[in-house]
Amino acid sequence: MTLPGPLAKQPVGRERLSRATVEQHQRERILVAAIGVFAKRGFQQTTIDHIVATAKTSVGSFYGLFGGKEDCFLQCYDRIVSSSRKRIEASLPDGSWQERTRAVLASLLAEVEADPLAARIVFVEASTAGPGGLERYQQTLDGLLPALREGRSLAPAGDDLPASMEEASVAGTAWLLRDRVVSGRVKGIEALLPELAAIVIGPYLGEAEARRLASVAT
Amino acid sequence: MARAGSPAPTGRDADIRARLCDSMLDLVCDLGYRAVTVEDVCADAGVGVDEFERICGDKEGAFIQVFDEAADRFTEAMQVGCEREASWRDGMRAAAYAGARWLRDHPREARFCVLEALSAGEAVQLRRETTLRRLAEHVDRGRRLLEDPSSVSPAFASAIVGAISEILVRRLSEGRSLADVVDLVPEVMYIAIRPYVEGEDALQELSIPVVPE
Repeated sequence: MTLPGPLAKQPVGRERLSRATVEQHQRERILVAAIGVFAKRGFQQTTIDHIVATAKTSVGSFYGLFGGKEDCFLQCYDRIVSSSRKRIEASLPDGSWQERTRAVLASLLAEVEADPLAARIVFVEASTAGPGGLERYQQTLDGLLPALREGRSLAPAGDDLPASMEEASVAGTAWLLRDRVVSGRVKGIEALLPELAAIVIGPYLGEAEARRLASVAT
Repeated sequence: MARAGSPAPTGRDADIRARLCDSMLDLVCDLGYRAVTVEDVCADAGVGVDEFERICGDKEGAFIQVFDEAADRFTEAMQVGCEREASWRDGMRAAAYAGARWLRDHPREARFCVLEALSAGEAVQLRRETTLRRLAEHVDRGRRLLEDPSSVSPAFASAIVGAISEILVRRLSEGRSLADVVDLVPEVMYIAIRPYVEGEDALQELSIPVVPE
């Protein structure tokens, strides 16, 4: 049997694990379990009992680490978004705005296909998880806006485009991903790239160029 | 147990149902869906829990009754606006103004259907998605203007309607009112018609004067 990461590094039988190490291990185990439970049952239908049963821990341990169901959900959300963001950023090419934007969209679709449960947490459940979840979700979308606005410098009518253009592009993209996740049509979702490119890149470079970019093999 | 979709009650039941729906609307807007209980709604409406269960089923059933009624009135307002116009584009603009004015004039219904619906159950989410899908079908008719309708994906219409919904959610969740939502119509129109008309032509939407009420 292989011990989990933090435990495997410890010499057997010599000294006890630090409290922080044990808590970190427990937290990870609960978060992994909770992501599955929240995604399958939905935030509203999930109870602490569901989470602790799946994580094979106790209610006491749960409350020692989380303030409650919503706090646990928000930590799940942050964990997913943080690791996805790191992977997407690592995959970005050095290149033009349009090449990088295309790469972000392709990576985003790959993330959704690789982990539909995590995608469900972000694109479906966060909005239903009360003000905290909604705020986190909106912050995630907001984080994409500055890079997108750089596209205005490439657009012939960049200065004339409406102020809410980027907000609409990002929200529309998120809506399409949500629709695919809700309807269970995640397999092969990379085929959505031309549509996303038309929505996100099209306003600046035109639909034809957006489609051409989407069709370029990486 | 009556559920949403059942025939509308008549006589005394219609009166009770109306009181329950009014209370549900007010309490959800004031306290949030999750905080409201069946007992709260019954106490506010002066109706017994047995009557509530007979007419609405449960809390989600009551929510759905209010949601359906408001969503129908909202889409009807847009439809009426749209039908007065001969072209798709003019119809879109008229519908956008009618919808925006309806939201401005019905802030509680807007909050209920746009923001609070997110916290309600799966059946409410389905209804919300159905309403948005109907609106997207109208936007998607813009593809008929194109020489090659397949050059724009039907997904675009879905994205634009979803985006508008998300923008409204954000405004409401940030505590902003929808009093100025009518001012957003030119931007929304540009964003919605851009894939179906030439870029320069779409930009004209930003300078078309507000359609009078």
